[in-house]
Amino acid sequence: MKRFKAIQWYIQKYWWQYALTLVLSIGIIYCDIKKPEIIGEAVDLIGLGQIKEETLFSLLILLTTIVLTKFIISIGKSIFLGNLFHRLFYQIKIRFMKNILLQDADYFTIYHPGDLMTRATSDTFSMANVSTHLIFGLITVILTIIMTAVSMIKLNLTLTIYSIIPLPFIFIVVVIMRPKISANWRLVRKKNSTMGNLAMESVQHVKLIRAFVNEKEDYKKLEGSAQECYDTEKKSVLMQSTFGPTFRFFTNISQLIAYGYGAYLIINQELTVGELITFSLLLAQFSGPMMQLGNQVSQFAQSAISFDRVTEVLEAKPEIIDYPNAKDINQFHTIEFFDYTFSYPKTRLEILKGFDLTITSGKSLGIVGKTGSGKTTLIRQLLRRFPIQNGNSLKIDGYPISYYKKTDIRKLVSYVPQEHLLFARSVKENILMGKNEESNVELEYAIQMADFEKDLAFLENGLDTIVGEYGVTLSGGQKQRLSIARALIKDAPILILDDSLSAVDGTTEANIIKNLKEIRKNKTNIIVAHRLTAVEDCDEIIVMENGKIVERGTHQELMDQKGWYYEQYVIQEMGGSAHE
Amino acid sequence: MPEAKKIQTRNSFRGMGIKSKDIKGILPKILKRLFKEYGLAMTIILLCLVVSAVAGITGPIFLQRITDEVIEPTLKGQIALVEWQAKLTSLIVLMVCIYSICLLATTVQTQILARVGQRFLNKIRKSLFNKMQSLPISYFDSHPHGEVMSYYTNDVDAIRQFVTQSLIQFISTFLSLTFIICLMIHYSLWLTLLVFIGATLMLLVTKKVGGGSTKYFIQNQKTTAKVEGYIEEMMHGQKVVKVFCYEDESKLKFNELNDELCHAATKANQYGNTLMPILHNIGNVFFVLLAIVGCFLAINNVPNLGVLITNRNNQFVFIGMNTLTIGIIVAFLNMSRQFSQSIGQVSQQVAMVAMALAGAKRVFDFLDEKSEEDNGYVTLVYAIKDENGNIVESPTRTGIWAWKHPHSDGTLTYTELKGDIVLDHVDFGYVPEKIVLHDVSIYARPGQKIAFVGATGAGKTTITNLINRFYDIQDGKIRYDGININKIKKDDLRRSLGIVLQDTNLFTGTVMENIRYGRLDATDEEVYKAAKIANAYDFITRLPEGFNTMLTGDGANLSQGQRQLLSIARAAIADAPVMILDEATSSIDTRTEALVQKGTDQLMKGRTVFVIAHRLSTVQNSDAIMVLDHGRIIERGTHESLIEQKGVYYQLYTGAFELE
Repeated sequence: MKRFKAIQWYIQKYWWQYALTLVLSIGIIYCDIKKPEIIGEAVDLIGLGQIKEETLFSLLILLTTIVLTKFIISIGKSIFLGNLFHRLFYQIKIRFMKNILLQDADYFTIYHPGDLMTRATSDTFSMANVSTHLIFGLITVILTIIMTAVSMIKLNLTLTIYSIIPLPFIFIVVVIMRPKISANWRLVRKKNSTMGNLAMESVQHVKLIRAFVNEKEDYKKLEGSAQECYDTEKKSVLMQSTFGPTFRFFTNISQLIAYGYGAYLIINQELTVGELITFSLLLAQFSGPMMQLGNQVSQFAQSAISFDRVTEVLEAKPEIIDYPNAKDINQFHTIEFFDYTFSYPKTRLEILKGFDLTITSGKSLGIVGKTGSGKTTLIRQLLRRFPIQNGNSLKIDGYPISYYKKTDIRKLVSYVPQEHLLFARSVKENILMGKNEESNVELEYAIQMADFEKDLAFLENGLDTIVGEYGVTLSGGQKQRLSIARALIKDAPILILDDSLSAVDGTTEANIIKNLKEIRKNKTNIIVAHRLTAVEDCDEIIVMENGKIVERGTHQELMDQKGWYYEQYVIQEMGGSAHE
Repeated sequence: MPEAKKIQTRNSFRGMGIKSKDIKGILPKILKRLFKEYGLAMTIILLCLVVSAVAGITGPIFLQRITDEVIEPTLKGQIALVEWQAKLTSLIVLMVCIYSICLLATTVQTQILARVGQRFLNKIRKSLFNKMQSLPISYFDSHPHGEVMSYYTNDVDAIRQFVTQSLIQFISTFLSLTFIICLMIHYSLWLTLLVFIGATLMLLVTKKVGGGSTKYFIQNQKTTAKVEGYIEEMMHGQKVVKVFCYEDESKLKFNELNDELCHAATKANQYGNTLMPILHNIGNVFFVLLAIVGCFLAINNVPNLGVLITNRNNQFVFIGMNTLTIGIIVAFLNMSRQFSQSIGQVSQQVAMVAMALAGAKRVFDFLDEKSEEDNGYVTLVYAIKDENGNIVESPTRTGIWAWKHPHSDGTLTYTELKGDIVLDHVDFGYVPEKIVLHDVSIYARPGQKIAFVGATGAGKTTITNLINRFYDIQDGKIRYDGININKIKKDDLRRSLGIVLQDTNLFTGTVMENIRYGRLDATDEEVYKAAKIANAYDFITRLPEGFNTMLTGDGANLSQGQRQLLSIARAAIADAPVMILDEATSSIDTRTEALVQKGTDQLMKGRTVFVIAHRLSTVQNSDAIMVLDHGRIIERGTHESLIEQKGVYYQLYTGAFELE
């Protein structure tokens, strides 16, 4: 019950709807109990031959009223409950997404997107479900059992005791078996998804399988997996299928006892026929909830985990928080790194080690070096993606970076990441994502400068072509050019190309570099690249190795140094095919 | 169980759009299969179902008899104490026996069914897998992977639901309804009529209200998918969202979509939630009406009509059964409850059944697809040269292979596998009407390196797919060591061709297993050696668990270059005399690129090689370069001669023209 704290706000806000639903639920149960009593009464009156037309008529009216009342109450209850559920589901999701969007980049390295996805959809669903449908289900079941039992006892205590003896068995069977069955079903799901993945691989890799003539081997693998599924599934189904017959057997026996002992009581004049009928109808209403109770108790336990998973995200706090009086910034003169050291959260490995660098407004910087030398990590510092470990070692215009608003810092930078993330919307919308009020760059111009114009001709609907998961698949180069256009349109003081020209050919690269000089005149460009031709023209080039700068200078200076840069340059000049 | 509920709504949603013609004839097909393969088990199941249905109606009979034969007469003092005690006891004992038999029957039935159902599914799955391995490659071109996958997941699941639940429920409901109706008619025609009117009304209302809500359910489903898609995108696109300060807009858009969903869901909910109470209460109203009408008839001593099957000629005869007794009314009340429950259960299952049948149809259609044909009879064997220099078959791997060619006159010839490949005026189209390769002729002598250069879609990969017979040519001939490749057994043909695909395609498994995939009987030593040839050995040993490192998700934990190296190692271990190399387009850093280059160079040594080149630097040392454009070879020659020609290749080389 402690878990419900997470939705306390909701219950407090809508307590009257919860209360009303509860009242309606009790009303429904009351109607259910009243009906058998009237029928029993009628039967008794007929049996005694004492019934008059008007008595029958009034009983008829009473019955009809009860049935209609119950009808209306039920509709009201399910609408109220449904609305409570949907509203809660809706609000949890909004809170969830709001908090997700607040998190630092770091958060997404700890939690896998797929995992967060499940939490955002099925876990929030089950949380809302527990807090509305399930909790009322449980309350209704318990109340039904209690109220029905009371009515039955009022008719005859011993009859009640004898006839409900078999029923707790139902409850016990359910409570014992349910967790086992659920656990086994989870296993089934796991095996199924393993098999699904294997099958997926077989479909995707079909050419490879054929090319290596491994069809039989592949079939064996799939068959083994299917067999495992079969074994676990069979176990689950066998367990599950004992439920139905058991349930029926115990309810039947219970009815049998009621009639047998009831007949005895009638003959001893302790009970009337009508009462027995009432009793048996009540008993029929009693056994269903017995089974539901078992089900619902175990469902509650299962859903607890969803609660925890959602609450965990709702309570997450971002680590990078602006100071109360954080400064605004929209232009800069210098960005300075002094003896800057950085390691990723929860790791001890230093990626940047005692790093010194000054970035001056209007100058361009090239960053090269081997994979894993820390180039991207360096870029990430400028995007304010991680908490700064030593406040004074990274300053913008003389103040530590943490003095400024983090959104302002991000507005300062226009970034083209290594992986090209496109959203499932039109090309135009994807590019315009970068546009903000301060930007002076027009759509057409950005496209032209990113050398993306020629690609548009190949897209069926030009700028309106939907790309991304549900749309047209763009080639690696096209994605890069689109990303660049998106970054150019942002028109920020700093443009960062993080190995963003890797999938375009030499000519396109040269075009884009040339265009940058025009569109980014007097602005800062930072280019991370493997191909040295991309950075050749930069005002300063740094060569990184193991988180340190090992060479720095202009292209000419670095060539004269005859170090790593020179070596790479020569190899690449020769066309990359040269043997080492 | 929220998940189950979700699946159920999704299922019923899917079920709504299914038209009857989609599923026609599938039910008999499934039943035929079930009875053919599990005849005995199915018969037992049917028998058990009959037993439990019969047991189901003994309840009302018991009620009637105990009221009319024991309670009433005793109350009226018509029978003696001893007599009613004996009667009561015997009735109860009888009932306990019947219920026990019923329990036994249902248990037997469910247990057998669980086994049959699962075995049936297992068989379907296995035949699906088997089919997949034998379908022609062109099938996978014309069917998206997701579609093929859904046969294994959704459709098979739907069939499972159907066989293990819906089918049996239908049969048992049908049986018990039949028995109940018979008994009802037997007891009283008037009351039966009343029950029928009730049932008809119930069905009508379900149809009416259900039809109205479909619209909202579909809308609900659509918006749900939209919201989920949006969430997914936001989760994956976090970086871009942050960099472009897009948080607020994301929130806004999400709220908008979520609003829409909440609205649609509430609407669907209001519709859906009125349906159940209505259905439930119609049952109730008739229950009450039944009681009242029954009592009324009883009081007024209205002659009751019942039907009995007489022994004479098995004819239906109407018999006036005095008046309606209280016992009969009680039994009727009990039966009408069973009646409306059964109808409710069946109507809930209808959507699910439609979906299962549609799924079954897709599965069966898939199983009926035409398999890849193989009429090849020339096989590849290990060979050895005897002292005269003749090729002789050898039982063990010798490093020499030969084509074993049986002729129609019963003689056998052996031709040494050298790797001489000739394409002679080849035309090809994926569909006969649309030719994509025109008059392609290529001569590759053993040990030569042939390169294909050209824009995407020019037909480079297509040519290699013809050599390994992923597709069959329309016109012309392809000869392998002088043998028409149509005569060669496909497996053996492919075994003689090593291949490095552009998409690296790694499997879930260890690095070792992935390399060994090239030749399954390779020893660990051979794997190490292949890794060394491919220049992959160093990075593999530096992985956390070396060769035993698990690869998941197509090698997501490796870099592009590393995946490439593994794929080369895999081709290296196959050690085939002819290699097909489809160069990776995506970039890798220069050092890795040099490593990959070195690996491929090693691999090419002494083999006939077809290279699909994306970087011109790789092809300069080829024996022949084919420049392709729109399925035709427009230029051919060595690097030097092509440069001299100053044609397309020259333009490409000097950068005046782009490949991509």
